[in-house]
Amino acid sequence: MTSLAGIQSLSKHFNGVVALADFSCAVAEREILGLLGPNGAGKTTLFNVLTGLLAPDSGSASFKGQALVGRPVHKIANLGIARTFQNLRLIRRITVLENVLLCFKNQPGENLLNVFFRPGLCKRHEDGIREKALALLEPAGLSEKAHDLADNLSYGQQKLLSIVCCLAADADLLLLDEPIAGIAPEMAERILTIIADLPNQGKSAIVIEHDIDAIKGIAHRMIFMDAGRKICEGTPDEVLNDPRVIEAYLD
Amino acid sequence: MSYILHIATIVMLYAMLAACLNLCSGRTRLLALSTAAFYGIGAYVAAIASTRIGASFLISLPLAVATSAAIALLVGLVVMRCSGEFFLLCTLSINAVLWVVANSWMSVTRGALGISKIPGFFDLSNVVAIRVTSLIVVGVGLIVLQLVCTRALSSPFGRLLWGLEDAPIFLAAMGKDAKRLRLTVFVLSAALSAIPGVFFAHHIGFVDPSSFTVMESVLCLAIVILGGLGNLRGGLIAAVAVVVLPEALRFLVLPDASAAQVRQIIYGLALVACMLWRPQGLIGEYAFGREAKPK
Ligand SMILES: Nc1ncnc2c1ncn2[C@@H]1O[C@H](COP(=O)(O)OP(=O)(O)OP(=O)(O)O)[C@@H](O)[C@H]1O
Ligand SMILES: [Mg+2]
Repeated sequence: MTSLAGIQSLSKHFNGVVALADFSCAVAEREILGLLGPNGAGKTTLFNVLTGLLAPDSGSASFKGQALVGRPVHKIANLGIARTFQNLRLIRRITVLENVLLCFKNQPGENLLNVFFRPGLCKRHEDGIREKALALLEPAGLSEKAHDLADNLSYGQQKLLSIVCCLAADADLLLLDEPIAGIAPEMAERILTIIADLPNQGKSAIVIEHDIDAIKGIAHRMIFMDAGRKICEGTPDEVLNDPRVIEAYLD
Repeated sequence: MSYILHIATIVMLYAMLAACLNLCSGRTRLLALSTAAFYGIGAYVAAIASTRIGASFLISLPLAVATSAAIALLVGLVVMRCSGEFFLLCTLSINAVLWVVANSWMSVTRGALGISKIPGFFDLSNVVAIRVTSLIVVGVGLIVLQLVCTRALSSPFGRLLWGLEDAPIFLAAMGKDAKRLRLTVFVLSAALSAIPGVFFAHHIGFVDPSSFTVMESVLCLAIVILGGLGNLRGGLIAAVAVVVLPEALRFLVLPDASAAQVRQIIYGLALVACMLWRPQGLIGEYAFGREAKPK
């Protein structure tokens, strides 16, 4: 398997609190990597560093051979990395469909010159992505909600929507922060199905999740981290049978 | 008759300003207080171009828009880094600074003396004919401007505006450049605000700094908020209300000495009443953004 993203000895402190300590790992193409760890282990911090929201104290990260550290957030996203947020961030004042439409890349209509001087081009592109957006909302079970305000969705539906947004962005690497935490089982099932299908579309994902049973079923490989460090790494069985992991999840 | 035509023209000028401001502040809720500055730039460009080189308003229009855009781009490099109340303060200081420039740059603006003898839109002598042509020219301008704003807002560009203040991190994480978006919408709004400025100069025939104070910008913002943030049609109606109400109050029979103050009080109360009973704007269920829709 070829490597899609690499992370080399990232470190990050917040006034004495260690969030990442010499953390390294790699993600292969078409791979789903499960990321486990207790609260405060630094999982979200890793995502924030990878997506450019936080600058690491030291270390580097690369994606498709391009260095990530120091690049602005939107440029990292345009390289092909999309993410969801633990505290969901969507635009609540617009509809579900509009949220999805907004996430498509390279829209001619985002440039005002095209809006006024090439309306045909904008219209054709808009029609195309509208069809794609509806097709993405269907398997997420959000078709009927397409024209509701995003604010009117349940928590689980909002989580689904944020994943659909990542799919609309057509990213090669999805960073999913607790995609099924705190939602109804049938909704979780839907989300897991979507995640498990990512490799078939040529995509990879790093999935943070506390629900061990759920993540075991979809991850190809797992990493367990604590206090910013990688404690162990391997197949789901290897990691879940590691005494240090068992200890962490028993107390 | 001529008075009513004049008031109608003024209403349309404010409606144009409201449309421009709505572009920048409506959906984003990035409230700007620099409308009068760019309105003033438009007016001064027209005043100077027509009195010094005899330019007609058709020549002043592109000149004013370009000047306004250039200045907006320059100050925009600072403005685009600000959001929320910092944006408000930043735009307010732009207005304050440009007002001082208009007041002190004697050789160009003639300071507080102002620039007078600005010709009308066309070379006419009949007062009513002058007023009617003003009304028509400004009316056409208003329609075009409304169409431009509507088109901009209904495009994918306009869709991004919803997230500019509410969800900037979401926008960035989806590959959208929020700073650039903020700069673009600010410059566009400023450039278009120069158009009513040109019309103002040719309609009134005189410009001085007193027409472009921060209070003018506040009034424009009041119109936009009354009409419902992001609601172009609401802005039109609010412009009528805000301009006509104080004029109508002139006709109240009041003791001379207190008339002005009483009018101000009634006007203020009317605005407060609107904010209390129609916080979502004067018209439309979904006027204030769209979240006013009941769940
Ligand atoms: N912006 C920040 N400022 C200060 N401290 C922070 C910041 N972000 C994270 N931390 C701290 O860094 C540590 C790691 O936080 P992080 O959010 O990465 O943990 P996590 O593994 O995602 O935990 P959880 O499972 O609770 O989401 C925590 O101690 C947290 O308090
Ligand atoms: Mg977290």
